[in-house]
Amino acid sequence: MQCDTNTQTSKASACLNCTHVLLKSKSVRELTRVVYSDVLNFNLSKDTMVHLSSLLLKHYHGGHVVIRLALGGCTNRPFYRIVAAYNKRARDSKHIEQLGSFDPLPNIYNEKLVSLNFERIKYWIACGAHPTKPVARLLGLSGFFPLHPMTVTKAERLRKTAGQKEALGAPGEVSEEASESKPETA
Amino acid sequence: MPGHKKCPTDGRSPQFSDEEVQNILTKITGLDLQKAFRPVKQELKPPTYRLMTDAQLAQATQKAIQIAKERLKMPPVLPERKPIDDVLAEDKFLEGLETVKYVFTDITYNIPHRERFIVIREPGGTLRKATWEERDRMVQLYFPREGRRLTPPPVFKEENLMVVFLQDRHEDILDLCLVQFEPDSPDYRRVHKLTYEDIDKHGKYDLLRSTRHFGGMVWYLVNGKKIDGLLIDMIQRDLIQDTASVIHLYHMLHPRGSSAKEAGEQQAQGIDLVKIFTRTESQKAGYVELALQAYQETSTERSAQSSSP
Repeated sequence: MQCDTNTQTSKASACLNCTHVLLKSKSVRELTRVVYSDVLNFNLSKDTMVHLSSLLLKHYHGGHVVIRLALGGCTNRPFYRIVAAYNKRARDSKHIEQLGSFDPLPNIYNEKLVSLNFERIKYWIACGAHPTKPVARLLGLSGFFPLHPMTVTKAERLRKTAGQKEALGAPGEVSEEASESKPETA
Repeated sequence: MPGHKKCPTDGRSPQFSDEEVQNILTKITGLDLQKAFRPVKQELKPPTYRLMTDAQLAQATQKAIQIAKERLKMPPVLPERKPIDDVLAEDKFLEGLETVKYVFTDITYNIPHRERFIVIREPGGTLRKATWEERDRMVQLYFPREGRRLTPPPVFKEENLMVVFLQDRHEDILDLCLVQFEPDSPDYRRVHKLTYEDIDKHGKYDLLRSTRHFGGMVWYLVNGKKIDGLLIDMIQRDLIQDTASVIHLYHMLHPRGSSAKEAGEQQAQGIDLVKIFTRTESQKAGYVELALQAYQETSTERSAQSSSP
């Protein structure tokens, strides 16, 4: 901890500079101890005026913002919120901002409802947020992003398996018809 | 059907929102303070009494008139909205991946609902814009408006509307319709048309007088050339000025008709306008003339009584 303890007035501002170093190594308790010591020693200049809330916020080492689905709802009734949150946070816990919702169960009109706040999504992507795969898929289906390659791949695979089933089923059907007609005639 | 006939003299036909038209309609609507401030179903409160001088009472009445004018502002009459069928993308290779539609709504706060992006991805892979009904439903879901329900209440079906009309609750049903539907939706226009037709059939014009729907009703009747019943009702209530205004509006909207031409030639005012109209374009000419005669007799009697002390 490098502190200039030369003058009283510079002590507080120097300590503020140190908090930057503190964040990386010490705990919140140490930090508040440093600040409160200034308060107790009446070392209050306008530099000491610190917004504690921003200092008490958790800072992540190497974390980034993601746009992902946070699960909510009840048993056998999922409901997702599309949310901008820090990568390291728990899936359902405190997020930075809610950007929309996704209801995976279809309603009476056979629709799955997705709401997206495009203006804020643009802002967060501009800030460098990473969307997860389901979110990217939804954005691709909505037309905001280009279609996700996995969507296309899944569709192709589905068509391939459907084609194979038909091909397997067709010779099987032919033989079944033949066997059915034989007992009828017989 | 409130249509918009082309009129070459103006360059464009007189619309509902023209200042002159609005003035005429507001004048005809009248301002009955007793009806405008009728007790509305609300939370029970004991009444407040205030002691006022005459000047203060006059001020309070003025303020009440201002508030009543606000409440009597006419809802807009718009042409029917054209259906949306705009396809944004056709991705045939996505077919079979989903069995349901995905509805994507843009919930950005500061855009008007008309300009919001509401887009649907069909199971067949097409990305299209949502239809008006779907749009209304989604906007109501994410930005709920008080009093509006997701599915319209069953009151608005034909048979149930008949029941409501029998109870003389036209004003209530029109208020409900205004809250529930958009002004250019086909449901709104259908309900209004049925209401106005029923009022015209039974001659219950007084139900809507001094409410915000009177202007709309007069506009509909004038466009459909069905103002005879209205004229008879007005003459029977001694509202000759209003009858003149209605016929003036009629001439504005149908300037090629015979009554408009004759009135233009003779530069008629007031009751003469009515007489010209009954002679030329009226459908129930007999009834209107009878009513006019009765009115003139009563007016001569009254003037005779007032002149002889």
